[in-house]
Amino acid sequence: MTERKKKYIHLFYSVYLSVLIINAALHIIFAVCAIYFGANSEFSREIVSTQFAKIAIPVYICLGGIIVGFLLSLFLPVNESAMPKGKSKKDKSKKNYKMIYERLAKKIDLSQCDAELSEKIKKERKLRMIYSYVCLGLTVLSAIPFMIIICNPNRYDKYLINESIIPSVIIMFIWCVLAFIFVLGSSIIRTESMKSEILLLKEAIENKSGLIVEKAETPTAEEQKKKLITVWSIRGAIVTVALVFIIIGICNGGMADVLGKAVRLCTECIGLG
Amino acid sequence: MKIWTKIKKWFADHKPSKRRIIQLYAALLFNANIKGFVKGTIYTGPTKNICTPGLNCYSCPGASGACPLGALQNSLASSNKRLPYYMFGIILLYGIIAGRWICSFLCPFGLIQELLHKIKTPKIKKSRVTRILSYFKYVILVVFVFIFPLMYMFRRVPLPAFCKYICPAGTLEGAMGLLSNKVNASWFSMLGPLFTWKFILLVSFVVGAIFMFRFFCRFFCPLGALYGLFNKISFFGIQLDKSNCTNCNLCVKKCQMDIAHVGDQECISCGECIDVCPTGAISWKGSKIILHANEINIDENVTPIGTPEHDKLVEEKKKKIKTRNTIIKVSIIASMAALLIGALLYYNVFYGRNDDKKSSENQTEVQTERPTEPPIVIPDTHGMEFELNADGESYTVTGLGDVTDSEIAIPATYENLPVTAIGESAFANTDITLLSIPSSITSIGAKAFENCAELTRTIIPESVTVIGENAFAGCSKATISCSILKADKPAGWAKNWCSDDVAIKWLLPATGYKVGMLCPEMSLDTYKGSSFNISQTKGKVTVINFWGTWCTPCVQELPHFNDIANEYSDSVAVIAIHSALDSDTGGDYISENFPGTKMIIPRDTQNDDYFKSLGGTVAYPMTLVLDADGIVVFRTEGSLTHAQLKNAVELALSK
Repeated sequence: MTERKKKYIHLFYSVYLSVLIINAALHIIFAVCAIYFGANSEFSREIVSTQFAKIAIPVYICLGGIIVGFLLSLFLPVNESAMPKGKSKKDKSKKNYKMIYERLAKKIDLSQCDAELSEKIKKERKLRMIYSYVCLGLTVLSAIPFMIIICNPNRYDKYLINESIIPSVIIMFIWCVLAFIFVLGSSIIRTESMKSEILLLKEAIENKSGLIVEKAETPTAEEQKKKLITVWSIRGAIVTVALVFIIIGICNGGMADVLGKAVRLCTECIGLG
Repeated sequence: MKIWTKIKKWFADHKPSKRRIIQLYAALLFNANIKGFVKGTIYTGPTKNICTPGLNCYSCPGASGACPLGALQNSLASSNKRLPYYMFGIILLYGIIAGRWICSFLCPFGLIQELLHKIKTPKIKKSRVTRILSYFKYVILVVFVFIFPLMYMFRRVPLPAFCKYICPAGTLEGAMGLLSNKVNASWFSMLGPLFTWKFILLVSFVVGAIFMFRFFCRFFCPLGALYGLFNKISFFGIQLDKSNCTNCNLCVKKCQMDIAHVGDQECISCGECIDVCPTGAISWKGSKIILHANEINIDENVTPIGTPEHDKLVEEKKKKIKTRNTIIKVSIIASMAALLIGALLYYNVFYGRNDDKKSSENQTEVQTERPTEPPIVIPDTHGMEFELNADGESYTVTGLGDVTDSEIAIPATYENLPVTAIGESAFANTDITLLSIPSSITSIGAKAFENCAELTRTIIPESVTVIGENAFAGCSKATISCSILKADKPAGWAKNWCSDDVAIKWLLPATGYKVGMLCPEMSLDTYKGSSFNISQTKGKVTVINFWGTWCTPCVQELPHFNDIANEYSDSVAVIAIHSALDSDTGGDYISENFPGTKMIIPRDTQNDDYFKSLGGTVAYPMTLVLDADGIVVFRTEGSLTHAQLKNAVELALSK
């Protein structure tokens, strides 16, 4: 059997297996919901066993599918290296423009570049910076009311914990969706801007305008030493602070608290109820 | 043979990497208390003072240490009492030592996700969207780990919000690990909406991990978010030599996490990218120590290159390095193996041997019944009146006849036939003082001993299934012992079989915590400085609640107990026993929140002995309701609603 055929078999089987897994997962979720929303809405070892016995078939089929998948990879392995190579469209779409940009940007010195080209590149960078700051600003701004709301101790009822937490989580999700839109927008705009700049940089390289022939300068030994000292100072400071905190914690009973909590079970804290 | 070769080849191709071996090792070490899975309990020894670096629920039966995230939330939730220096110190220390290297090498939940990801299905690869979504874990960190516990700290409610609402490790290792054991079958009754939610979440995370690499770590794990902050300065991990980097992007392509650069906050330092870097710009932090040690430095001025002496020296040095590396390797493996074996032996063999003995002794004690009433030994009285029953095979005693004795013993047989009943008004208005009823009697007629004012003592045998109305009415001096439990009283006994002035002693059940048993007693100190024993509340229905200020559901349900104490102040005693842990805060909490409460608030002994003697293992809260005789009529672990508690109290009152 050719490698391509084998690969198709694997692909088909993996899709089939994912259907089985999702099916089993949905059955499990429905089984739990059936107990909770059922007539008695009560859990017991017997009820759980009965309800899960009903979904045994899809779960066993799923487990069997996983084992078959394992056997398939055992007896029908795909030799990726033997596959015909070629740059697919997918590979092309996965270009990391940031990396390409950084690589090209290292090669060009804008001060020695063609004035018109340099101006265009600078404009592109400026625009990109503005977009980024606008998106960042919007994200932060939208976070302020969200933080003010959820950091208000008065909105948390002492006894109706779930009822108080759920609205806060909803607010959190609303902010998350907003932040996601802003950050995604920023990311798309930045990538597009980078693409344009990459074209300009490529043009500059082709014209040998402002091209730095030498490799990007490597840090000198002194710079490296300085960096190393800084890093080790930070590390030293953090380790010292950590150790001091731990000692204070042992003395003030913080460690005993950890032990006490870890050796006792708060049923709600692990989701039992 | 061909199949065997294929299997061998498969194993050769899929042999576990060093990282996988370390992951398995760490998972086993952090869950070395295998005994816990068998017994359905958790380890409660001193190593839980220390946090494990990865996400490993401390309520898992196997857990040998505390979970850093759970401990951090609890420390924050109780920061009104003491600032969480210890947990900040631990997080800082772990972070600076290894950063997110912990995620890839030491986190058991990371291992579970990676193994799930091995299932051959189409995978969702990283993209711009997943990169943005990876910031969601910081939102979870801020909101669930810091804000919610701190907000509830102001309300004096300990709330580890991440553990309670999200943590899949807690559901999988803690809840399901404990529920899967038959010993904890009763815990199923406490499952409700919270468990349903967390179970659905767990299934989602599991499915997510199959289709996406480290689904939970990438988007939800606040511990990874915390450690990620230290990635750039940690001692261990991955480092990128920028001067050698050509921005070829191979490392980022190879990586399955949402990294922008090697070593950024998303990098878990798994080391997969080291081999793909064409310029060798990526390396392990601290690797220079090993590399330098492996360098062969020979002074070329003394022994020039190409000379036989030089070659000989090189060979010798190579040999030395090889031997040294082997020694280091072997000693590391040996010490790691010794540590693991030691841990397994400590947790499973040596730890808690005495406790096991004690608990088995307690079990025997629980099963032992209290001594029954001493029997009444009198020789059979002759001369009574008998009547042959309709069946012709048994007799009924119908009166004293010629008997003048005051102490009488009804014979078990008359004319070789059994005496099975005592007739109506058979001994009414007589002067008998002591009465022995044989075990052949099954029925006592109405008014049989009515107004026997001098009767002091009798024992009703277990065989009596019918007692008529007013059978013992007016026996004001009598103490009647019944050889059955009050709860087992047959339906044939008339409601008014004796009058209120008669003392009745029912057979005492076994002492224990199960429903129908007599609740054991123990002397405890109250916060007011007095001593308290459960025997003090005999004659009243008693509600015993075990709680702690550190326990969210305990604190939440406490008002229900206070309401019951107020509502039934005449007939019900409510005892809220604070656990030994942090017991100093219990009194303050009560005086602050329930001033003038009618509840009695004792604190448990140092080792929570009373909690354990009432069947408590480690799960709080726990509630028992006793009837007026001190018999357990209701017992539950987990929180109660007001209605559930009220029902239990009503049930006890109706007994």
